[in-house]
Amino acid sequence: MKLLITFAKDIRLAFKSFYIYIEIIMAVLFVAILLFVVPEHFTTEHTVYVALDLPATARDFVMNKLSEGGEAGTTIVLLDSAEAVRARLEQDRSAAGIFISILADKINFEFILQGYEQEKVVNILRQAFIGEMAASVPGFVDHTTVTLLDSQVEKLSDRINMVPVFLVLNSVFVGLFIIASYIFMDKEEGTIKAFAVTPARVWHYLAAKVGVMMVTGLITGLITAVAVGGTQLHLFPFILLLLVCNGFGSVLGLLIASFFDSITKAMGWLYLAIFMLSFTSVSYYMPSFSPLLIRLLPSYPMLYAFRQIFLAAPDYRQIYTTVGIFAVLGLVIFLLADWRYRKTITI
Amino acid sequence: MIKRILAVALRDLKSGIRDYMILYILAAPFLLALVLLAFVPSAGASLINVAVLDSADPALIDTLRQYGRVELLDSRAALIKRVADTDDIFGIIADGDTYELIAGGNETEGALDGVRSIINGIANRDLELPVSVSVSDMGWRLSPLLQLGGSFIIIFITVFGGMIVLLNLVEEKQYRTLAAVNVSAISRVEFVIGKGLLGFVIPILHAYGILLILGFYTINYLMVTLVILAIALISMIIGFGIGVYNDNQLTAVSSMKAVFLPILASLFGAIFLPERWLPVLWWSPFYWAFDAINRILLHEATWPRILLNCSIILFLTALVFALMRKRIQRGMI
Repeated sequence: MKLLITFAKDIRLAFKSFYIYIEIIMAVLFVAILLFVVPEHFTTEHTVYVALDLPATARDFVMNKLSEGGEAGTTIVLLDSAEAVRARLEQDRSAAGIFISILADKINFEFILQGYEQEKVVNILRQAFIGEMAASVPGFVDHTTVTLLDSQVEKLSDRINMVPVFLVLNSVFVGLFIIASYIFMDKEEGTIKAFAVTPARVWHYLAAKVGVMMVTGLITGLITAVAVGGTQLHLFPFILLLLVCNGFGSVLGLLIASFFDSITKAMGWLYLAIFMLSFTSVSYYMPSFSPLLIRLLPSYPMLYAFRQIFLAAPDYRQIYTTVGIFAVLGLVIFLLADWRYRKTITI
Repeated sequence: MIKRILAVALRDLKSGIRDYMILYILAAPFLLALVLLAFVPSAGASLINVAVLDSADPALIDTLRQYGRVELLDSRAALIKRVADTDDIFGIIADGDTYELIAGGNETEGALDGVRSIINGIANRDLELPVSVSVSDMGWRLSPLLQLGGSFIIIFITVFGGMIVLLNLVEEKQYRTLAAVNVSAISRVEFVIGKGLLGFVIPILHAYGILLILGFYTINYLMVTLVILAIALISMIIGFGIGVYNDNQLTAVSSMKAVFLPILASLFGAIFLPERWLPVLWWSPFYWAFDAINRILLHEATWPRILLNCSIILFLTALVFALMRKRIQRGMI
């Protein structure tokens, strides 16, 4: 009951202050950008600069191979010479080049890379090319069989695929930044001292704040997910996942803030935390880059769980496992934060 | 005048040093640079990560290690469970000279074909090919992650400087010291400059530190300083604009968070958008700063270009200031 009263008071105050409206405007802006600026599907573009020094017959063969091998989004720019390719590569450090000539009676493909590519990337490029070439030679035997665990894997549109990143970094971790400023504000304005003489306990105070963050996250999350996902959204698991993950983010913010006595001091570390958490979005977009360090960050499983929410046939086990893990972790961190604040909050 | 400005700045510095505030503010961004540095070796373009049975032929394991990470698991069931995970990893089980590739179906498009080509290339290595392959490079060793990540962090951290000024101001409003300034001998302009001074010094220290941690020893630091000063100015004006109007930190922090949206949009846009789309970012001073820092890191920056970028940033800053001037003046009272 005391918790409910504290929570109701905090919610009323939150709606009287500006910040909740700023959060809502941000969510609306993001939705507008997604719906009106971002195309539903997009390809990343790569440029490959190519120069040929070949007799006419070999030229046709090579041109065929190049057009077959080009992935979607790859632009091939034909140039006169290897020097011209190198000159272009000096200008465009994200591009690669190929110089094709006759070497020891064979057509030689010289891949001209920038130099920062890892040895393994070079190996993959070389071996995948050899494998592809071998496939067109008489005597080639396919030594592979493929077992597909799920041949019906559903792919989300590129637009919807961006929503989990916003949901996690904004709606889920809204509390990480805001809850700390909440506590410090109450501390400086003396609200906490006033609170200390009421019958409510410290954990009531903390839980009410977490509750306010949950409401804020839920509002911005629902705006984004419903507006972009529409009928594709599975509402009940979405709300549950959002509330639990948001609660986790807020108690994490509480714990970090408990080590500092002013928002300015805490800000750098909260900044660091949100930055580290956002690193996982790189792996989310580039799944082959997923070092253990990134997979251990809390935002990593959250991103994938939120993606499931938009699928026609979501993997409920993945969603509810994520919910379970963060519910437990959130509770543990909350107890820790409560223990720390009981010692420090009234100072 | 300078004496009075310095007095304001030194007072902030003094109170900052007294409760280790400066140390807290300075340390976090350097840690961020260290984290980025830790990621660089593992971040290539797409590597081929595979899981194989621990009973597999050691020669096969060694070969696969040339293309990516190899995880060893003890059973087919464990292999299938691992492949079904969210990241891109393929299972490979060898049976004589046939290889069963297990894919989850959720991998990046084209990745499975790549693995098949590699395995078939290895298995068919005795075939006489009509082509040969060689690889050369331009000798450019700077990884794009380090280059883009470095520019990204620097711009973001400069905004952090503005944020510190903002929080400082909000504090002044909270303690009502701002009202006291209005009746003191210091003019409002002097007070503003004095307050803002740290917002310039901190980002420069951050930028130097981050760049040195990331190993950029030979770039033009004078150019870096100029760009940071330009971008710190606009961050600070935004910070002031928000700060003077908010006597509560909650709204201030949340407004600053809202500013992250256009900043992130400009930076991600600058990284991922194709060149013909870049003009849609020209309104953003953060885009111009990112472009300038990026050129400096690539050793492509020329003074005319850096001056052009900084002039555009200053022009946009003047526009923002013109829009916010009244608001700042009113809020200072």
